[in-house]
This record gives sequence, structure tokens and C-alpha cells, in this order.
Amino acid sequence: MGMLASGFLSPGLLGWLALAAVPVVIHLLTRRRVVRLAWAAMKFLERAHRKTRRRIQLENLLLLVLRVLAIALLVAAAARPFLQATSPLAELAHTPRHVAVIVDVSASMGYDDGTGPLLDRARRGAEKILAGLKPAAGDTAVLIPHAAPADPREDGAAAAAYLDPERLRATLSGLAVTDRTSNLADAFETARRALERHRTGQEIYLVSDLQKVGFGGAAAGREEEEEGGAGAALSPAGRYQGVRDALQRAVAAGATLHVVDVGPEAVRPENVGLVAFTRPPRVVTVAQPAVMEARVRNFGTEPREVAVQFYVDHDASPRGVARPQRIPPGGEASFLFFHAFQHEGPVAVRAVLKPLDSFTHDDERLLVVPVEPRVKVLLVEGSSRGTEAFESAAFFLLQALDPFGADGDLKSAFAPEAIAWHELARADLAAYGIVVLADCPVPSETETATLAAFVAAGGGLLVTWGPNTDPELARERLASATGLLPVVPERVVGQPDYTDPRHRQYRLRLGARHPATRPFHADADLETWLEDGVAVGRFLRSVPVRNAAEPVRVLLEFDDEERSPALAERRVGAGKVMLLATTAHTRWTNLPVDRQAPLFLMLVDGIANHLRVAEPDPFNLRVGDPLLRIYSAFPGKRELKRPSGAGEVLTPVRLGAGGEAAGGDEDGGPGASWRFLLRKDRLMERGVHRLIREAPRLAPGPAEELFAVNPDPVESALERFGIADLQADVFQGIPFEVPALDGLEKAGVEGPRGGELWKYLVLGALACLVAEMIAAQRIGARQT
Amino acid sequence: MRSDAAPQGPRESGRRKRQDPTTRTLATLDDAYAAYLDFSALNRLRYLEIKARDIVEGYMAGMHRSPYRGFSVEFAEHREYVPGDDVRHVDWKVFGRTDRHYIKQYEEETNLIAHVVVDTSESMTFKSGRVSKLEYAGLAAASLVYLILRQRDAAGLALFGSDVYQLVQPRTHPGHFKLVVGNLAMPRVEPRTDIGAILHHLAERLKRRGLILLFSDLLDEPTRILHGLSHLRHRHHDVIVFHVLDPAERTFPYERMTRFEGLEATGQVTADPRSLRRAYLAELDRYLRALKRGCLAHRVDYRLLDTGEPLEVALRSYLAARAGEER
Repeated sequence: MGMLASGFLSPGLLGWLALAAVPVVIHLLTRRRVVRLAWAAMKFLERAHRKTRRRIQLENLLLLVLRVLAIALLVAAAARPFLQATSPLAELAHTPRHVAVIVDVSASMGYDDGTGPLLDRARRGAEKILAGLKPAAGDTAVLIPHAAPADPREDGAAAAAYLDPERLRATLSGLAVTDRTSNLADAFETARRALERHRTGQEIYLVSDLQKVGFGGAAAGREEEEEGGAGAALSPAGRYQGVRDALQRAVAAGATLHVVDVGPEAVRPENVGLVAFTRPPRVVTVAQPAVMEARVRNFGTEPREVAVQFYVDHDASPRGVARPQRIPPGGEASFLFFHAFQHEGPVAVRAVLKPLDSFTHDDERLLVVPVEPRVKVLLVEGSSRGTEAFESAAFFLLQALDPFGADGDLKSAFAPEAIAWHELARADLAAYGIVVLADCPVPSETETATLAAFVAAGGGLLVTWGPNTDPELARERLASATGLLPVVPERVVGQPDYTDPRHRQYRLRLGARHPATRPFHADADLETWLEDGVAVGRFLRSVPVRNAAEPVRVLLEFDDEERSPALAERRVGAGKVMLLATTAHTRWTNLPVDRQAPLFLMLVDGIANHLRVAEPDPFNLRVGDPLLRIYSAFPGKRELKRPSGAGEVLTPVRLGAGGEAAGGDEDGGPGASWRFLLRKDRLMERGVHRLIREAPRLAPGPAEELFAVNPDPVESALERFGIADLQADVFQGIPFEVPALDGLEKAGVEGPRGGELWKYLVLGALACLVAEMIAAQRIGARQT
Repeated sequence: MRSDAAPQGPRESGRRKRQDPTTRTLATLDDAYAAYLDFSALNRLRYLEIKARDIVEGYMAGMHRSPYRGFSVEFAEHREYVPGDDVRHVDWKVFGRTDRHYIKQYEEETNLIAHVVVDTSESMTFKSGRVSKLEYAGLAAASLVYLILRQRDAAGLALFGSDVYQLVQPRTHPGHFKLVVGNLAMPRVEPRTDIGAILHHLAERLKRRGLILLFSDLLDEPTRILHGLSHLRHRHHDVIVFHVLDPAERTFPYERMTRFEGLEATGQVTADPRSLRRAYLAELDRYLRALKRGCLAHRVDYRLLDTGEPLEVALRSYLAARAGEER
């Protein structure tokens, strides 16, 4: 048995094999304890003895052998022998194996430590696992290429590969590193479901680089990213709870877990990666300088000096090179790129790390910048002009929106145009990007409907308060009937003269972080000047609208008891509405003329850019995001061209006023919008995607839209688990095995549990006992 | 049946002795009487006469059919009728006077010469219970001699082992019983025997046709035995074979590992008796069948005596059956 088996789990018990001699000893003792008897009828006895001696000897020998065998087999079973694959008895010990092989194809598997991408190593490991299976003996396998979010097309491929060795191998050889991240909790859950119809022999193999992010999920990784360092957001217990739950479910279902580490030797491989390539949320116009920022982080353990090159459109050579910076381990550096775009339309800008490193996946990022003509702003002035220009309601707004005027090279992104209140009814709002109602009386119902349609189609509306505005009427018409305003007006409080010390002066307080007030949040002096320097004598007391489709955001508050909103924002359809609850001129506040800093200019600039810039950025998406495009006019069918060249025709769906799908006809009516939506089939490729109109003459708008898809930066954190840390932080007592890459084809048979013989030995012992009982009973029956 | 005066004392002594069979000995004739002869039992058998099935020669007329004619018929005595008696001999006159059945017995009948032949070889000493085959055979022989003498027939005795070492000539005198029993009580155990040869020898020596009562375990080749018996039959002897066997020999009841050591130096066998039982009993059965068939063929009366069976019961059943056959 020792030659056939590769060992015993409890070899110490083999000493009990001496018990097998007990039947022999009993037999010998019985023969020795002979009764002597003088016998007369020896003739018959001798004859009977002669005839039966051979049969009796054989029967005795048979019983003896069966008893000895039964004891020996039981003792051997207790010692738990197991076989190795080379044993002639390996087939005997073979329990059908049902193997789920999770192959990590997340972006980190593209890391090249000098011996080729990690995925090649993973592929070889998976091939060895599959080679160790015996389909003829009932073994089955399912290959689960895993990356998150899951790709339904890949899930189908994995299901098709089930049980078919040829297709498994073909699927394996076709695996490629994806641009996605990983979520191993989902992978283990998928594996468990794939194996749940089998009751025994379930084995789950994870072939992965054991990147930490994969165990905690990309969401946790992003939280850490936002918190600014690994481990800052979640404790290990909380971060890995999801994967631990999945592992426990798999183990409870009877599966054994095997972790095949194909990662690089270092636990924290050297990597410098572009983690972000962004632009401020501002309108970019032709020939005006725009700034773009590339952020580079050093994920390794050694300081690295890198530069970033910027390419515009299809440039062969870089349009700009940011100077090299030395980034310490764990540190981050910002590389800025200033550029004036010469043409309207979306432009793809590429940031490339120099030099490239071992993980090229994060050495390049894309940014699509929509270049527009100057945004026309319609300033509707409600107050009559005074003796001085600055006494008009729109004066300070005009100055803030177009501070450079017509002189010089610098041009504001906004081209404001002031009209009197009574001219609003005749204005073509579609020609404007932003409409400002400055201290206006409440518009008529028709005008209100026109404004609502303008906003729903993507326009921006800013309402500033003043003596001409009636709170009651505004509440009834703008807040209740159309739901345009972000607040419900109540009444005007305070005294107009904010300089009279006898009256209370109200101060502004910064609210939640918001792109429009970003400079004030970023600079403490600005924040102080805004909160302490600005005095408000009178304002509209209001409360934020509740139960709005999109939550109301309060950017600034007054310091009154109710903390009434001073500047609030609400989204309506594809557009935005903002309300300033005091005057944009100097009747009720010194905000436009405060001398500490250009506060008013910065605030109006922020508001105007925010009203114009779409949020979230529709031009720059992340791998795994759904594609969602909303149009105020019927866009016609469009073909989505992916970076790989694959195309797909999209049909627009008409949305009702509430945003619900309402049919695909072209005549939408007022307030209607259309959308393209790719939800199930998400954006899985990085690169520039194009939406091309099928019939350019039948639909308005540009013939081609661009948007960029970039990989999730959490994948750049290549830090991975060592086996000990994996046990301590993730598995925490959940049993798992770590087979060596070289011995994978023998796994399952070589392992003690895979090749154990004990049950066969017990069955053999039972068979011996049963045979002994039957033989003894037959012999006994013959003797009586 | 004058021997009603058989001694009573020994019977009582016998009862006393039976209470402790382990101390029993056959050293003296009295002991033999005391130990085994239950005279009350024998008295119960006294009306079961031992008759020769064939025509035999005797010293005088008796109840046996005689080959000799012309003797006068003289009434001798009455005896009470017992079932099995020939009703022709019932004395109806006595019945008319006493209302009881008596049969008349006549002096004219010739007497019987009976030769009791007992095997005293070593195999006869085997016993699994209280009594060995030899003891049982001796007692049975003594009982029959007693009965024969009581019916005024002549009884002789032959003891044999490897040869006939004791031959007592037949006599009718009641005192002859003592001599017979004395010889039976002190047999000479012989290590070997050859029953066939013995029977041939007896056939040659016993000139007058008579009744041969053979007591033996017959552990010999059946053909040789039967050949000897046929020789006796050829000499016109009426032969009765009392085949004496121990109950253990008939059932082989042993359970434990046993070394069977052959009496009469016939080797030894060590075996588990349970595994041998069926084959042994088959062999025994085959042997007994052969023996019975041979006896039947030669008109030899065969009777198996089991030493575990009470002697009285064995003799009563046999004699009653034989008497029934006579009629």
C-alpha cells in the first residue's frame, strides 16, 4: 500500500495494524486448547475427516483471511491513506471534480514584471488546472474570466465553455486584459452559483495577482482614493466583508477554495500612474486659453521623476510637455496643460506619462473638451435705470460676465446682452445659453412656460431678487405651478439700507461644496471675505423645495435664525435654475461692490459656468459607466463607434416632462426630450467613442459627438496581498489552499482530500465482515 | 417361572448404589447385580419369552419347535396370559372357574440352546455417559440369560476380543446364571478384535443349532461381519445381533476442538467436531444401512442398543416385537 499511496494523514495509527494478528492468534490458541477424547468409532471419523479436511481447511483459511483483512482495512482507513496522481490506484480514489476557475482579467493583470503580462501566467495556471481534469471520469469545469463590472457577453462565453474542454481552451487562449477593475466578491458568488448543482467535489480556483482593490471592490478603493490614502476609509474587517460573505457561502455550499498567486514578487509593485486628467467645470471657447490638469501618483516604494506629454486630436508629436517632477512614494503631482483650441466642437486631448513604466495601463488618459462659441447670456433687467448706470439691476452682472469687454485678446466665455423687462416676451430664448432675471417682476404665465421649456432643454436660468419682485406671485407662479425655483419664497425681511448700523446686517455662509463656489471652498481668505465682508440688509426669506426630482442644493445661506438660502440651485430637465435671494445690484447688499476681492465677479463667473456646463460631464466617462445622452431636440438614429471599431446603431427614446420614456416619435411637444441609453451593455473599452448621426440633414446638432472613456484609477493601486495577509485580513479562518503554479495539474488528486482512500477501505472492511458473516453462517448451517 | 425367588437384597443394594454411580465398580458379581440388574424390571419382562425363530435343537422338549417328533405331550403348569400369547393355549376351563385367562404350558416342548456372545474389545469400553458399551452389553446379556434360564432354556456364554477367550457351555440349571454373570462381570478387554473371524470360529465350534445372541459395537468391516453372520446362518443358527452404540457415537455432540484418540490403536484425529459432524453422521448412517441390509438378507435379527436408553425399555420393546413376529 505504501508504494501505491503517497502517504497517510495519520501514520501513527498504522501501529494498530498489529490487531490484524488477533484472529490468527485466536485461531492458534483454539487449536492448542484441544480436548483429548478416546474414541471408538475412529473408522467413520477418519473417513469423514479425510473427505472434509481440505474443505474445512479452505473454509477456515477463508474466514481467517476475511477477519484479518477486515481489521487491517479498518486500521488502514483510520490512518487515512491518500494517493498521488501517479499511483495505479488514482482512478479508484477519483471523485468527480467540479471546478470553477476564476481568471482575473482586470487591468492590473497587464502588469509586466519582465517575464510578460501577468495574464499569461494566469492563463498557463488555468490551463494546468484544466489539464488535471478527467472529463471521462465525470470532471467538469467552468471558466470565469472576471473583471468588474461584469460583461454580459463574457458571462455567456463562460457558460458556453462549460463542460467542453475544446471551448474552454479556446476561451482561455482568447482571454485578454480588460480595462476594468475587479470585484472578487462577485466572482466568488458567480463561481458558487455555477457549482451549486453539484453536491460534492466542488473546487473554486482563483487565479489572480491578489490585488487588494479586487478584494475590497472598486467602490471601497474609490472611497480610499477620495480620502487620500490606502486604508483611511475602511477597516480591513469592513472593507473585505463582502468577499468574506461570498467565501463563506461558497464554503457552506461544500466548495474548497484554492488561491493561485500569479502576481509579481513585490507586494507593492513599482507603478506611477495617471489617476486623473480633468479640466475645471468651465465653458471652453475658441481661441481662449483653457487649462487641463493631469494628476500623477506614485504607487511604488521608490521616488520617481516623470513628465507628462499632451497630445491634441491626432497629433503625432506632443503639443505640450509639462516639466518633469519628482514624486515621492505615495505622493501625487499635478501637471497643467494650457491650450487655446482653434475650432468649435469636441476635441480629444491625450495625456501620456513619460517615461512609460511596467504597468502601461495607467500611463495614458484621455479628455474630451467641448469647444463652444461664446455663450450668449440674456440679462433681463426688472428695475428701471437710475441716474447712474450702476444703479441698474444688470450693471454689475454685465461687468462680471464680460469683464474684458471688446478690447484685447482675452475674451470672456460669455457674451451678455441686456434687455428691459417688457422685452422678454419677444425674445428668442433658444438663441441664448443663459437667461438672467435680475430684479424682475414675476413673468406672466406664457413667459413662465417659455422659460420652463428653455430650462428643460438645457438652458440655464438665474433669478436675482429685488424690490420689483413679488414674493407671493413668485411663489404661486414660479415655485408652485412650474416648479422652476429651487426655493419656496415666503417674504422679504430686513431693511434695504445695509449701511445703517441701527439695522441688522445679514452675513453669508458657505453651504455644501459646489462647483459654482469652488474658489471659496478652496481658499480660506476668500471664504472669510465672503462670509465676513459681505453685508446684506434685505433678502427674500425662503425654504428649499422638498420632494424635488433632483435635490435642491444650497450654495450660500444667510445667518438668520432659519438659515434661509441665499444662493440655491435646482435641476429642471436638462437645465438648471439658480436663485440669488438678494439683489445683484447695491440696493440691498454690498456684494457687487465689496473691495476686499472680486467676490461678485468670481461668484457670477462660477454661477454662469455652472449653469452652462453639463453635470456630470457627459464627455468624459469611466469604464463600466452606462452611456446616457439627453437631447432637447429629436436627435435621429446614431451609430456608436467604439475604439475597437465595433459599431452599434442607437435609437432615441422620447422622454416625457417627468423624464419617463414616452415613445419614440419625433414630435415631442414642449418640454420633451430624447435620450440614448446603453445600460445593460456598458462602456467596457477605454478610448474615444463617437456618436455619428445616420442622416445629418434630418436632425439638428453636430454630425459627430465625441466622448472619452477612461479606466478606473483604483486599478493603478497594484498593492497586493501576501498569502499571510490574505489569510489575516480577508479569509480570517475560512480554509483555503495555495497550490504551487507548477503542481496545478496534480491538484485535487495529490491533495489529501482529493485522493483519500479511507471510504474505500471502510467499504472493503464492511464487505469482508459481511462475507465473513455469510460464510460463517453457511458453515454453521452445515454443521448443525 | 420359578425364579421369582430371585434375591431381593442386591436389588435394594443396587438402588443404593445407583445413587452414586461414580463409585460404581464391577469387581464382584454382587456389585454387578447391585449396579445394573434391576430384578423388578426383569420380573416385568418374565412373560416375554425368548423364542427361537427357526427350528432349533435342545436337550429336552420345550416351547420351541423341535425337529424331533414322537415325544409325549405332558402338561407342566399354568401361567397367566399376557398379550401376545397364542390364544390356542388358553385354558378355557380355568377361565370358566376363575374368570381369568391362563395358558397351559407343556413339558413336551423342546428347550432352547442360546449362546450369548459378547464383544469385550477395547472399543466396547467407550462411554460418554454413565455406562460403557461393554457394561451395557454385559447387562443386556445377563438379563437375557436370566430370562432364558427362567424359561428353562439353556444359555451359554462366549466372550471374545482378538479371539474367543471364554466359552461357557449352555446349561439350563438356574445356578448357571451365576457362572455366566461372573464371567460377564470380569471381562478381559482385548486391544483388538476381528468380529468376522470370531463369527467364523464360533460357527465352526457350535455344532448344535441354537440361538446366537451377539452383543458388539460391530466396529469392523460390514462385509466381514456379514460374512461371519452368514456362516452362522449356514449352520442353521438363529442369530440375533445386538448392536451396542453409545449415544455420542450416534449424534457426535462435541463442540470444542478435540483430539480423538482411537481405541484399539486406530490412530488419532484432531479436528473441530462441528465441522466433521455432518460427514461423520453420514458415514455412520451408511455403515448402519449396510449392516441392516446385510442382516436382513441373511435373516439375522438386528437390534440397535443405545446405551443412553434404559435397558428395560430396550429389551421390552425388542422382545415384544420379536414375540409379535413369532405369531
